[in-house]
Amino acid sequence: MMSVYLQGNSWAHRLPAGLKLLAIAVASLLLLQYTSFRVLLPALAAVLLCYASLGRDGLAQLKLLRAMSLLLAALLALHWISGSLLEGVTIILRLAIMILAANFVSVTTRMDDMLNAVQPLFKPLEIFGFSPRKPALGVALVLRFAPYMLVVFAQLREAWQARTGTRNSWRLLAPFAIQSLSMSDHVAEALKARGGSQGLSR
Amino acid sequence: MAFWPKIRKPSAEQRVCNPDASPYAVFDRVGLNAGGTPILEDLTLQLVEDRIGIIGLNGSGKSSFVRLLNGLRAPTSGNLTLFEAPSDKAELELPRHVGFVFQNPDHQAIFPTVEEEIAFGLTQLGAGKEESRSRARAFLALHGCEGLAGKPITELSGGQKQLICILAVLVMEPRLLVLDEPMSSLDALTTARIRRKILSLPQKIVLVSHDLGQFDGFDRLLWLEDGRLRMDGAPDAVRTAFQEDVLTRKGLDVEIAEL
Amino acid sequence: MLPKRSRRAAGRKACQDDRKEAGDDWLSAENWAIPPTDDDFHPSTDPFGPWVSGRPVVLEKKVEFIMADRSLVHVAFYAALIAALGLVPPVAIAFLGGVPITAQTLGVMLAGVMLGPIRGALAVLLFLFLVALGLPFLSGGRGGLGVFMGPSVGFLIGWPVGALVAGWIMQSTRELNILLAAAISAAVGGILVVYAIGIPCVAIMAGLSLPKAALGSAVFVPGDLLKVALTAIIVQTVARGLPGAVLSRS
Repeated sequence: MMSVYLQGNSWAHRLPAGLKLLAIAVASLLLLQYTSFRVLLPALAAVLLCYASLGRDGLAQLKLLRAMSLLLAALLALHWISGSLLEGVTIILRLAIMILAANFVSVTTRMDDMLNAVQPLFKPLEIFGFSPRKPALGVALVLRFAPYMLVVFAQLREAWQARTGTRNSWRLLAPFAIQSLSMSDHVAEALKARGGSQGLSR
Repeated sequence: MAFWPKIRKPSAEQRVCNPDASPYAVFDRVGLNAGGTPILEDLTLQLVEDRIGIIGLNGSGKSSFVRLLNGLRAPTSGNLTLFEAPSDKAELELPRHVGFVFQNPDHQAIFPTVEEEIAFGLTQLGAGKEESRSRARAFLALHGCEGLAGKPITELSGGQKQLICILAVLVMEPRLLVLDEPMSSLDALTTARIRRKILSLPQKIVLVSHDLGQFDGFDRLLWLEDGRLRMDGAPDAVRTAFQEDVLTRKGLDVEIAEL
Repeated sequence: MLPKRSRRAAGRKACQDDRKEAGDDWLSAENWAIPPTDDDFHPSTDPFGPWVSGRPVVLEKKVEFIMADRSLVHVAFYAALIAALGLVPPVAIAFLGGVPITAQTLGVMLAGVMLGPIRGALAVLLFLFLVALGLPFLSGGRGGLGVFMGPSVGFLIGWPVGALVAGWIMQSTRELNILLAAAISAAVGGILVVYAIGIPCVAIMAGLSLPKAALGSAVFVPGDLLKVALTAIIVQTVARGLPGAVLSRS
């Protein structure tokens, strides 16, 4: 399954998902109180050490920072223009630490475990008649639809190419929406035919 | 084995083929309207046989007819009794008794992987997450599909997809299996295999198909036309009459659009 | 025999002529809407019809609003659409300043405009939930909890609110021409609301002043306007080809 999750059995993988989520929430709140390098640099070192403990594959995960580097650089530039370069550096450092730390949880937690850990949070919604099964079912449906949409789009593009000789066109978007929408109607029917999202064990 | 007259026009009286078995579906002057246009009209019949086939031209109401059996559609007039209870009774929980296999497996599969797709039926019946996963794997192994368990549905071949869709319904152990043109996009060999699978099942079967050869070994064949029951009888008789009628009456050299 | 190049050109010309002859008519939604695969079953033409079951339709409609399976599937569908659009590589258009435009917010606008307020917002929330669970669905292949710690998190928070507002406007302008209504809804919900939430968040997270943060975000506005236009056209086409699918108006 495509995910940022990194297969493994390290100490971080073995921690329960709920604990990791709680830890990251507390750590982020704490970190927001500080802007001094004396706190931030050790924190950065700690996060990097965490990634390093996963081995080479773990360190490769730092590529996430590269994806965000453009954004962070733009922010730094804005700070520089307004003459608060040092403040900018600390703020961006803090952001980078928080991003990396949160990502570390995602990298070391299986999606299923994460889903199970947050499932209880949906429990209170039950009083509004909201079945706690729905978020999990919704997640499964999205994972089912997304690849199918790519198939539909590829087919449409072929049909388009066969008739016009050109490749992509934004005009394909509307027929694409129509085709995949009618699929979703059929899936809704199939779900109902098998008892619907409420299940049959009332 | 009941005796079927060669051509038998539907009449208002109810028909029972085997008086000992109780019918699982009783249609009493059932009609169905959608947006003012009648789709099914005045259907009175009983379904009791193990293998029932349904034929008819496009637009004859076949799909709506079989959807009545699963509660996907409700009759707008008349009475429909399924498994000895009125069809609109919520406690009946029709999906538990009636499995429905759709024409296009891409439109039926709800989950990203095969194992989840099968396990869903079990969680629907109240099994826990882990239990349903392990039972799903066992069920797949029972049907010789253990190799497919972890695969994404989108990566399966057409025949595999349809087989998984049938298994996903069978795992709920329905009493009746309704199949709406399940073979329309499969090659000859896969069709034969799926057909053999279907015919080996202990469930009662209702099969919709355009391929008249599919109905070999069936007990009864219904021919729907314009929302009405045109003919009802033994497969051979109905097939012959259907072929003669369709080819002579409509003619082959008429433009498709004029039909 | 013509040289290869001019043969190809001639072929292309013939194609274009064909297109002209057909009057581009075959591009219209009616021609692309797939014929129903079943002989008589069109779930989309009677969205809350007898299909739901034998109980009174009016009552069902109320319950359907956010709860029913059909709604759940639609919500999941748009969440998947937002994810799929994230895979479209960013386009940099020179006359818009070369700022890369991603297709993802197009999905957010579509969700709001097509589904209506509640379901539209739920679709975006479901998408964000999947991203939080670790799926790399944000454009650029980003995902996981990390993205919610970044400075642009305000825009992510703004998305469901934007979809909510877009859906609400769409729903309350039923009398208006659908193209115009969709454009207004997408512009207000997808740009105004999203930026109104996103810019202050950038300011707070990055320690910038509001005008500076606004300046930094403004470069994305032209691209977003382009997406508003696309949203309007798509919604209009779908409304013609599959009327029941524009749930915000049915």
